[in-house]
Amino acid sequence: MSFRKRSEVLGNPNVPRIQTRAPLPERGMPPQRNPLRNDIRNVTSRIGGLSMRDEPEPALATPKSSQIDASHPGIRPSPATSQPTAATGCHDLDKLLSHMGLPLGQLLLVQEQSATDFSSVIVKTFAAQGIVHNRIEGSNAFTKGNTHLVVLTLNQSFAKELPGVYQGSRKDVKRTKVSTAESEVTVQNTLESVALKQSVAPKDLKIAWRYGLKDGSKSKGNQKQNSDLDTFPNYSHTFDITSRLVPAPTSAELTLISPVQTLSMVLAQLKAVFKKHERKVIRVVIPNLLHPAMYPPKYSQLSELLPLLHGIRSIIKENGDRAVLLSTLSSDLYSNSGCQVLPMVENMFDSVISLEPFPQEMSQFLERVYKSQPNKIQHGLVHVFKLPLLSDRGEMHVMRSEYAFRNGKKKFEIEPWGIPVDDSETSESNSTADPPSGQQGQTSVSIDF
Amino acid sequence: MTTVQKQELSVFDDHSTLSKALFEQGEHHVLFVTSKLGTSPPWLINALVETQVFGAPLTLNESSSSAANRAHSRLPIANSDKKAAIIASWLHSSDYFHSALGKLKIDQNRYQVHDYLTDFVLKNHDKPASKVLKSLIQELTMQSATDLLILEQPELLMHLLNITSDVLHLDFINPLTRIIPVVVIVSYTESYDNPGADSTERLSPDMIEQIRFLNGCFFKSIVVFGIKPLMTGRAKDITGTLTISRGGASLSHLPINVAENEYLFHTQKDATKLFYR
Repeated sequence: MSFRKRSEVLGNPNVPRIQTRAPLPERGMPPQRNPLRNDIRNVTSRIGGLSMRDEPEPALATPKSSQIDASHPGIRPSPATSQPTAATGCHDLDKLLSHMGLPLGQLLLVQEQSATDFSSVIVKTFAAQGIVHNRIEGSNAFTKGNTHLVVLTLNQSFAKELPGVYQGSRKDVKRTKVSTAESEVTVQNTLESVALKQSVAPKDLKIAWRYGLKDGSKSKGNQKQNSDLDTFPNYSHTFDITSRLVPAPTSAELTLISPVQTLSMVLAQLKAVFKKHERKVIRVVIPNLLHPAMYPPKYSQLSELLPLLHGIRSIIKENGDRAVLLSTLSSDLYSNSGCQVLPMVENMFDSVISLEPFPQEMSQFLERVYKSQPNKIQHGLVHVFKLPLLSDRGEMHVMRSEYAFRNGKKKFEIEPWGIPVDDSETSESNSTADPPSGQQGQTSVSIDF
Repeated sequence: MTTVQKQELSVFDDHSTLSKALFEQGEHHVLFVTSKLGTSPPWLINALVETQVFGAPLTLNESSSSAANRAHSRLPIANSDKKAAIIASWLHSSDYFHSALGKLKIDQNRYQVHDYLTDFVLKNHDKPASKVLKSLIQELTMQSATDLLILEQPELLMHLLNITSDVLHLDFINPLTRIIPVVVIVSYTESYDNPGADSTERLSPDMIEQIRFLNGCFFKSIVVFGIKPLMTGRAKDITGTLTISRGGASLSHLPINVAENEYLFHTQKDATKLFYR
């Protein structure tokens, strides 16, 4: 448990948006990875055509070229290892994984203790993020697209439950509605705009002059520069869990596979999806793994479960340049002592985090402490057991009780955890321990002599 | 930690990592590597392969860059037709090992990787276990010229083929150890916490088989490499501890002994350093 400030930002806030160094072929990169040639081209053009290095261009050096277009909006290089990385749909989780996302070819397991279902938020945003990336290209998305989602579940309405992109607060939504209504070409709008221009323009100009905003083109230029710096504008989105993604994903964007068929059927269907969508990033989701309502009891035996996970891991690794997998599991059903299911399942994943919702007493304590700031109340702890790529190369990244999560309408936040100070308790203890110095000599008890 | 002297890895009392005495004709030995959550053993696997190829674990004993240069310029000690090591993994694909060993400038012709992750289940799911095990042994010993075989997580075979630990030992591990001079078994022991009589919960059959398999490996091995995180949790400059101890097999017929020791190690960005405890 750390006692860092609550306001401290996760990871390094000054993460470089552009990789200025070409990824070395021998550093942390299996030969099939795609080093995003476009980024290197961008950088070389920025520094005026200087040659980067004498090394061969990484993409040419790799024996197996990637099938994914380097301009894919949902892929960026990891700041830690330069591996191509996909967004999880939760910005804080991206940062927690140390790669600003989940590197391609990696499997992430989110465990959850107790009977809550916070992990479903992560699953849904992960899935929705894939669909949003797929739709960035507009109407082409349904026919061509750049991302495909595979869900191993029995829940047929999974597609309809995905959250929509966060549009802003209610005020923002109203404003955008008004502005879109105003921008429509109608007779009334044109008459109003002419009248407004005549009456308001001088006043506006005065204010603009006062604040140095008169030259609109200059400010626009600055904005453009800022946006240019933001190299991956469509990489990660914010989702509103109270809204729904409209229109809901169709079979062209999402494939549902029942995980309780015969093993060979599941794996064959999964392979077929990879074959069908050869040039797309494939996001595989296994929500509520081993949930008793979905999986028959025999799946709690390792001889049934492990071949399934091993087969899926094999397919993801085989397509390591364009596939990522996220799974969630309620760990309460399987104790750590005397049972081998959890350790073996964790073993099959490259990255493992665990959510531990706070017990009621802790929640009440936090509600009391953050009485005036209810949006600061955390809902539980986040334990990190494994980080993608880093743990696999032998680094130790087990972090228990170092982070806390908060689930809100707008986003699922993860921040460093520190026990907040209860001001009411300290003031009470102060008043009982040290009576005010001014009253020290006084007493209300009458003394008889 | 900057002032602490770096330590070289020596497993036997002749200051070697893999002593020549182990590879004498007619000798067969098992080395056992155990790892826990948070401390994966790829660096030790790499070090053992490197020892077999170059004669010493150069990247562990020297700075990474200079070791790589030295390794590049150094002639392999073994016959070039012979594979210095064969790695069989049920958890990682061959790309993973080629990438890691490529960084150590080890020529791909000097070792061989058997990828038993990719399509293993699809190929073998409905086949009889005895047949699968036989074919695995055939594949692994086809190039019998190798002296070192590294098996990464063979315990997964118990669940993938639905067999007991005894079958795995009798029909797979034992035949291999009779053919290949040195077999290294790398196992994940997160669930193995010595559940004694005070354990309140009943042990599952899977757990019993796992413990049985690990105990079998321990008794067959001459050296046990235990890789664990620190008891105190995560530290900035220490990844964990490497404990080298004797296994259950006797070494009395060899002129060497195991140099039992405990090291601290720090793994960062593909480089591992050892320190004295």
